[in-house]
Amino acid sequence: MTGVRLAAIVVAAAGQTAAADPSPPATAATVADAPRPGEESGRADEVDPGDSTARVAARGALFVPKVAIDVVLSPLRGLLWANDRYKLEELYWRVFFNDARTIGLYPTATFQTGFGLNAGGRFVDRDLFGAREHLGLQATYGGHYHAGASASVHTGKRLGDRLALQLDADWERHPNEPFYGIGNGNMITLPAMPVDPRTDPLAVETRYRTQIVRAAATADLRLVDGFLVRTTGAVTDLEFSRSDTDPVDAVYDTTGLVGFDGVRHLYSEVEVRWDERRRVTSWEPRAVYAAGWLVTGFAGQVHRLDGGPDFWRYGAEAQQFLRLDRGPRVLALRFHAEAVSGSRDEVPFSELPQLGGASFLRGYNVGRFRDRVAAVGSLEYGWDLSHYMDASVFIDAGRVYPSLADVSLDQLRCGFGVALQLHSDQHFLVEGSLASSIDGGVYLSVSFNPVFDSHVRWR
Amino acid sequence: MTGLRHSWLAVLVACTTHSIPAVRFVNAPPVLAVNDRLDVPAQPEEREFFHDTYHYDGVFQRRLTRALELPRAQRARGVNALDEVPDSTWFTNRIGHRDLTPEQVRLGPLTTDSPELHKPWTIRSTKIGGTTIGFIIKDARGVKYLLKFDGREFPEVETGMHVIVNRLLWACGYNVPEDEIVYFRREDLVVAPDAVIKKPYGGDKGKLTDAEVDRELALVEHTADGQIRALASRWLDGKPLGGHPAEGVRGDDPNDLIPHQLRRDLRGAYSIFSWLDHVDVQEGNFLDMWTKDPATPNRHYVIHYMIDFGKSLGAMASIGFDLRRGHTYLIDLADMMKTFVTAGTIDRSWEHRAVPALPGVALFDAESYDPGSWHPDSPAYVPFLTADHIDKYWGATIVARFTPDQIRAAVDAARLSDPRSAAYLTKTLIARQHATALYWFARTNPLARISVESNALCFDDLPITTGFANVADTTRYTVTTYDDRARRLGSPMTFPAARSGRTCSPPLALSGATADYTIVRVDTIRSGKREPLYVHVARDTSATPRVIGIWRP
Repeated sequence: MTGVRLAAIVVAAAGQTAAADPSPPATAATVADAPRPGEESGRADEVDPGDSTARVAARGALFVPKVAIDVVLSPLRGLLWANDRYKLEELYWRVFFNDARTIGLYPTATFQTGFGLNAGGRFVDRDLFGAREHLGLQATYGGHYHAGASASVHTGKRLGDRLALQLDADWERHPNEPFYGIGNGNMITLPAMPVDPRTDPLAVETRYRTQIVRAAATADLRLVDGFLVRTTGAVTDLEFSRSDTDPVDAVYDTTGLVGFDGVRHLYSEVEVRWDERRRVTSWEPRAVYAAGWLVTGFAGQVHRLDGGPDFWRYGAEAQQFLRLDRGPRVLALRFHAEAVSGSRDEVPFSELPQLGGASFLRGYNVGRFRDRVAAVGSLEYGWDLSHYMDASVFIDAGRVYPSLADVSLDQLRCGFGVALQLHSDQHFLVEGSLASSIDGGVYLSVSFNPVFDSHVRWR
Repeated sequence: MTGLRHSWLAVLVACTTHSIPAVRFVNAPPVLAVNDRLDVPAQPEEREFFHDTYHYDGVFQRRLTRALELPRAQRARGVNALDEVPDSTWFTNRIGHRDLTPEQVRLGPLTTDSPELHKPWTIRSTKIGGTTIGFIIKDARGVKYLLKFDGREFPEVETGMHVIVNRLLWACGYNVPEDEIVYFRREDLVVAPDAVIKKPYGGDKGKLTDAEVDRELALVEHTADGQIRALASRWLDGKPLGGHPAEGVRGDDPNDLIPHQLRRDLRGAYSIFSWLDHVDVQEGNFLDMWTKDPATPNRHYVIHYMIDFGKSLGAMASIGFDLRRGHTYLIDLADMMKTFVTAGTIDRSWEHRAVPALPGVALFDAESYDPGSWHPDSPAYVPFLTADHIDKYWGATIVARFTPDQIRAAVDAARLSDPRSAAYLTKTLIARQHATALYWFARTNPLARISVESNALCFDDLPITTGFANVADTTRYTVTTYDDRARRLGSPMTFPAARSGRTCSPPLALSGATADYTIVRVDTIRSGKREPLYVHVARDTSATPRVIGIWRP
């Protein structure tokens, strides 16, 4: 009995009992004689004198710009409104994905300056057999000689947290791949007649077509947190031909372009990676590295299936992130080097290490430099603008060399610029950068991958 | 020579006249309530809250076009002659106007027993909207509630902060739902046979089963003895109409006559929200209800509520892992530009924030708090953009009225498991209360409860009467009286502050009975600053002088 009473007291003390309202609520009757809203001021003078004539005139003058702004921004606002009103995002998931959002078939579209619209579709199953196994199928088309198809399977957590396998198959056609010759040469105007790129370092912007057919298998073994061993095997078939615009054979003698008549090879690689890049506090976004190292090295053999000589590819990269202050303000250092063992007469031009573009040696065109050895160093200072946006200024310096014996600091190419990065708390979203170099030119680029993250090397 | 002397005199008179504001008041008692409860027979249209469009407009497009409309700074409306807010469907004067015991603050808006005393609860559906877990239930009496839970990473935070702010905002005078903390066990829940799972954007997704309830409850925090803590929010009476627009009025509500960006009760909420770090200010967190009049049920009108306070008291910063919350807007273009241009070389106010690791305590501190630069998450709420220092002073006077016991009582309503958490939150709320009050008290003449007693002007000097600042010894006042044509009536009188903070001037030189209107300019002088205030005095029907209006420049 005592126990029951005690329990009742405890419950009563925990739950709120009814309150005696200190004043009864107002009703229509209690305020019936009160003034209406706006008449309560007790003022004998005019409460609001209104706008001055000058203000009314100025407002009239600004009416047209105001309407213009509304009209110009109406598509963007209309899109947001339509998404709010008709729940377009929800509709997207409902139409293209299953309820669990693990299986989807959805359209894709990308636009690239100079290449136009590339549209297609993608099928994904992100949980094939219940352990986050991943299947992806994709096809895109962007016009004449601009198409692709790919399939990939990833084992997810099926083999545990430490081991994962991936199979990829790709077919791609690109109509305008850049080629600026081989070597660290300066840009010049069109030569009188085609030159041998193996012996003449002149650099002229040209284009070629390429078709890539590849099947690859990758195994990732995470030995301990941050320490990864990756092995890759890939069979690749490459075909090249002249582009419709700025054709490569108008400048370079394609008989001197090793592999231009086609390349087929089997590539096997081992990469060892120590990655302890991280944020420092939980208050900083996970997507922004604020401290730690990345050290990675790789070596792989290219075994020619087309009768050409085999060669090796090897390289290393080191990154260090130094947190200077809260925010975070971060100083990032990177050194990347890559080389091939064969001579210029043996290694297909498409397999030579390259510099230029949004990742390695920013401030230069994509693929601006290529040769047997490439090395680049980066110094970057990044700081936070908001929880979801960071800014950075960077300097990249590097060059390509004909051999390891030629490596020096002479005639370095140097690019510099500023970048803005958008990210969620967890994930990188997009980076836009404005870069230039000691050789001139201004490059505005948008990247959907973190600039300092690793890149697939097989081309 | 005589002409020259007359010219100088005219200039002197003109200058004197010019220094007195032209504001005049009717000789009448102040209005204590307005009638915004006229019958609205047809239900006004429900406003759907378009989240992305609302914030896009607030951050960018409407902000730009509003600037091009050259809006004039305007004094708040919805205030009476004493610069106070009368009771309305938006605001009811409570603390400082009524004696609220700590117990009454702890209970706040509650009018019925806790559902904790009326188990079992029948689940009708999952909650509508949002992505967090919640259920709509009816208790054993048939009273309907929304149940919401804390995330596992932040036990007691959202539910606790919600209830504390609910109690404090209620005591301040705003309408809030009847929300309270409840504890229950899984076996206290019965799933109704027709219970459904609601889709995030409306509509039913399917039948709600026991297994689904188990699955969802497995994701929320349980106490050591297996109980589940939740926030129970009693369903509001009436038909929901959505939140009020941040600008203009609700066109189909004939009682909504003052543009919202001009309402004192909304503009002045800035200092109250800054005190509470209630950053989640958006249309979706206000709710208008088309309600029956309690005494005449066939009469309807709109009552305006504030809802959803779970991201207050630093919870938004903790849950979003974002130290900036409360210090900048979520997308703060000006702050971003400043930080970009200075390349991150400047120290920012939020960078050194820290709090003890206690259950139910979020990133809520007093050390980094600056009442003048506090920011909600979004600049979309226009009343906070149009608010001036007088609105914020008004809010600060309400904040200052809470006693430590009342604040502690509001914290107790959160039923936090660790006494250290309640102590920390109480201490921090008190520290922020002092900071808020003193900041805005210093930006106008902070005199209150002004009256004429035996021909002397008496008033409370808030920094002194609240005990927040020890400035009685260094404060002086100067009083000068004028007639209604701004002609000086007597010599200025200077006198010191009383130690209690309530000070009376020497007898005033008032206007004669035939021209019964006196303007008393009171200057408060301290810390090298002189802040004026104009008190308008006239005689009532028994010829006794009384204050008929106050004007803060």
